[in-house]
Amino acid sequence: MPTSFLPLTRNRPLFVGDHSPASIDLSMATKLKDAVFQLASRSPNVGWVTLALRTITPKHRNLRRISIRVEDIDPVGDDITSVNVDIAY
Amino acid sequence: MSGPYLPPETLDYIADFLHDKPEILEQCCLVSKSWIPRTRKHLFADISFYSPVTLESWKKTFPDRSTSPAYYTRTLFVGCPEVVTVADAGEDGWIRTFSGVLRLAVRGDLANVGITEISLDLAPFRGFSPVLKSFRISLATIQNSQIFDLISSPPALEDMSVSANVIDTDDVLSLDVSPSAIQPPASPPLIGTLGLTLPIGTGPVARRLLALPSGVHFRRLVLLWPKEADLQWLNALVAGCSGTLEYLTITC
Repeated sequence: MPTSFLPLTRNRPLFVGDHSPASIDLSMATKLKDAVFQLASRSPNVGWVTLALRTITPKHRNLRRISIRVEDIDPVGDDITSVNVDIAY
Repeated sequence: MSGPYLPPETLDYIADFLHDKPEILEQCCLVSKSWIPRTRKHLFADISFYSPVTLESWKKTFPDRSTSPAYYTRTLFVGCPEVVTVADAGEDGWIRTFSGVLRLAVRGDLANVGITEISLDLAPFRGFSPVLKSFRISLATIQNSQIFDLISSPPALEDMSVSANVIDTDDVLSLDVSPSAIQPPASPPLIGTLGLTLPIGTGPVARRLLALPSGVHFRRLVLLWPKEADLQWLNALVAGCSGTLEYLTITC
């Protein structure tokens, strides 16, 4: 299922929620084209991905794809589950 | 009796066309002396020293450094860095015969959790090729100071990737972060890919990178987020590269 989006109004976060500094802050990386978030399946912390997504704004005009991958045990091993979100303005 | 004259450009084109056919290039290499450099350029472009045996074989085959085809190597893989270090010390800078390498990958034996690597001297790999653009290193144990020495010395370095299971933390505690202490004479461009897979922590390496006089301008970041305390450094890297960053991979 696609993630819920807000209407693309100026300076409003693309994804629902408040900005939080407890994750990767992408707000300044406005030239970003492709973002990949990989989670070890044993990792209990998955909220950081949501928090990172909340820092994406309509200023990220080059962003075309966001991938969320769940790794199998080894954080650098092959992924077993992945979700890709292709973005089209 | 001389054969028909072919312009050098045509001969170059023929050799280039055969770049992925080493058996044919080996035949071409025997045509005449003029064919040697243009075929060697492809035959020795990609060299791998997987083990001490392959390294010893190379040294026996090309004992004279002045005629060694190492000059033509553009991609070099070293799977036995400790042996190369010994060879380099014993033959007065042997590794520098590979002075045209653009891409270097060094991989230690991760299965031997660093018993020999702890004292591994990586100095021979520092600045051995002035045109080096890509440097990937994967060891069981490495010191922060070694990482920084390796990545700050090649003047043309664009891509770097560091993977280590254990970092010698002694020099983390004694790390002097004053600008005069951590800035090299010149900064590499660092405009390609940065990969950091350091389970023990990204902070010390990130801090030193961000202190480079010309900053960092990576287009791609591939980062492991091993612990909460590293968040500030990951964000600092993202912010530091915000003007150029196009591809980001974070693993947590």
